[in-house]
Amino acid sequence: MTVRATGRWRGIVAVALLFVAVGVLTDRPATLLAGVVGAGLAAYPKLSRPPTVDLELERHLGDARPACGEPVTVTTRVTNTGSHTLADCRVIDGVPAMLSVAGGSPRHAAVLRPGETTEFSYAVESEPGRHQFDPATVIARDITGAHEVETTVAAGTEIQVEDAVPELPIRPQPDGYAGRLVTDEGGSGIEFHSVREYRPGDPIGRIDSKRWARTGELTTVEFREERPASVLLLVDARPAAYRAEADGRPNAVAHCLAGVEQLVSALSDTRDAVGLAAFGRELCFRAPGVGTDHETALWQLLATHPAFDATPPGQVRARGGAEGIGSDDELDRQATLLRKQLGTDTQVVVLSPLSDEHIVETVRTLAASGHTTTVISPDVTAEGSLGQRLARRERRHRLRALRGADVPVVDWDPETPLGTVLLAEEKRRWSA
Amino acid sequence: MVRVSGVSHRPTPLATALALLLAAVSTAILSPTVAQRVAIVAAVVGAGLLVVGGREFATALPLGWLPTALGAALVLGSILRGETLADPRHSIELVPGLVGIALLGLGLRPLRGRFARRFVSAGLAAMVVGVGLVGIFEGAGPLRLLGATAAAIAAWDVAEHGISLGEQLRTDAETRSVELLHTGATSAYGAVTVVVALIIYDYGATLSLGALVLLLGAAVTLLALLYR
Repeated sequence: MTVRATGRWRGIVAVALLFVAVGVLTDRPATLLAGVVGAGLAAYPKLSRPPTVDLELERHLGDARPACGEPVTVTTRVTNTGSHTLADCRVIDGVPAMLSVAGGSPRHAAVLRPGETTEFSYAVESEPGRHQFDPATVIARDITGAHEVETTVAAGTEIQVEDAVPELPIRPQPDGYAGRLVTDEGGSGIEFHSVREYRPGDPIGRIDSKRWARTGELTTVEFREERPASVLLLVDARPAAYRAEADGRPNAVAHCLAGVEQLVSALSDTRDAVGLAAFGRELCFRAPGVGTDHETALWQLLATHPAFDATPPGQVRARGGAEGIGSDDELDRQATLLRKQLGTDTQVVVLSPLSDEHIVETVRTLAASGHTTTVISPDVTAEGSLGQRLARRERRHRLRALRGADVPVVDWDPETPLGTVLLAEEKRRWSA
Repeated sequence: MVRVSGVSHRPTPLATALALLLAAVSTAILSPTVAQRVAIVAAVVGAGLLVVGGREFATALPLGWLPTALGAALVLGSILRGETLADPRHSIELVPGLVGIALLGLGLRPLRGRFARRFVSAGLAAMVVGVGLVGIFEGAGPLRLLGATAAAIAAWDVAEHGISLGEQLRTDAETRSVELLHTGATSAYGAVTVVVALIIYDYGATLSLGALVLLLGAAVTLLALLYR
């Protein structure tokens, strides 16, 4: 909870002083008296205290599991559970970052007496996936507007929209330990690798029986070993990455988070070890692993870790809250820390809008230190003003720079589902 | 293609209307004649059209520039009319208030998002100057001066409130009850201050100006210190 003085009445002191000065200099008592009114109004904000905010929030969804593209009506009820009247209570509902508002306004202001409830509703466009509502931001001012209390009220609400995209195609697993990463080493697998001399302990099934029948020599057939991959999904959630195509559209971090959620659910169906990391408010790192517990931990991290917040830091007010976290040194520090914790055989998939040069440097350093790195970059640039066109050109340049450094980049237009984009990419590489 | 507009957050409509109304009341208190009042009505209508011309509607207006042009013409016309009144004292009473209304209208349109508050403050300054001039040159009675001052400050407060609501909630949010309560509270407090000041004046008529100055000086210093 933040309490701040708005200082909006400060200028009235000047009005009071002006009237007093004019009244005295020109010997006009009535003008002097106008100074009294000025002083009285300047003292007005001193009569009130910052409001105490005790609120309860309830959200009702018209349809909690709508079909894709169907607008969903959200009705939010806010009740004043405190014992004081809130003369100016402003509520900004925490619409999930991926959903855009289709009708009505998710913002509302009301006078709330103790026990009173206010209600407002709006409609959101449904996008495929699971969407968690953020806590609503409440800004309560006293009657004079001199003090402002900003706080959040939470109510866990979720919209689940059926995915219209088929799941990523995953090959069935031959046994418990194999994975889909085909290595150049011999062992058990499907694809032929080599034939070597029999060593005691080799499985009977792998003995080349035809050669044994022909020559009486014991040999063992080796196959290319298939190992599970170890993948780290890294989200760029620095303040610079919270860019959106236009006001009211989901920002790049929200797209990245939606992408990560899809990738986590796709990868957890395979034997691949999945880890999660983010640069941003603070470094978040969870080493790759497998199993239900690990998967639960990943989902929990995605839902609760501050680095995975889809709202930009310090959104309601520019001041406060955002110091230091956007600096380049901070990114270097977080990247070094991440490289130290990362296993050498872990692949890194970076999700970033590539909104500045620094993340490109970081990705190249990661690739240079021996990690197989891939970048998935949601394109949130627009073709409008000169500045927007420049941003688009710069991003294209960064994509080229990364591809030049042997880092494959998937240019993802968020209008298209990530699954489709990845499938197309796979096809392109096969045909190339 | 994304439309880029210089202003994304506009003041809420109800507060805008109430602020313009209060500014008109402040000017009307100072200007008693019919010709002056007509000019004030023209200026308020003009400022209102200026504000309407700056808004975006669900269905675009057929002649989008027309309200703006008409509003500007009305405001300028009313100021010119105020300048050319037969009695120059009537002009002194009227013109600063009209300029104040025009500035308030430009602030609430707003011309540029981050200058909204500056325009509104400039509007208050113009109206205050008007009150000061009437006080100096006409030796007007306290009721007129105090009423006009209180109404001008209330207009500024309501406009500023509308701007902050527009910034935080945008104009499509339901905010009417809050705006009405805020306007009511400020206006009522302003009225109470005026009444108290008049009572002080009635009893203080026997007090020497020097003593009154000292008293007020002390009160204002105290206030200035409180705000530091």
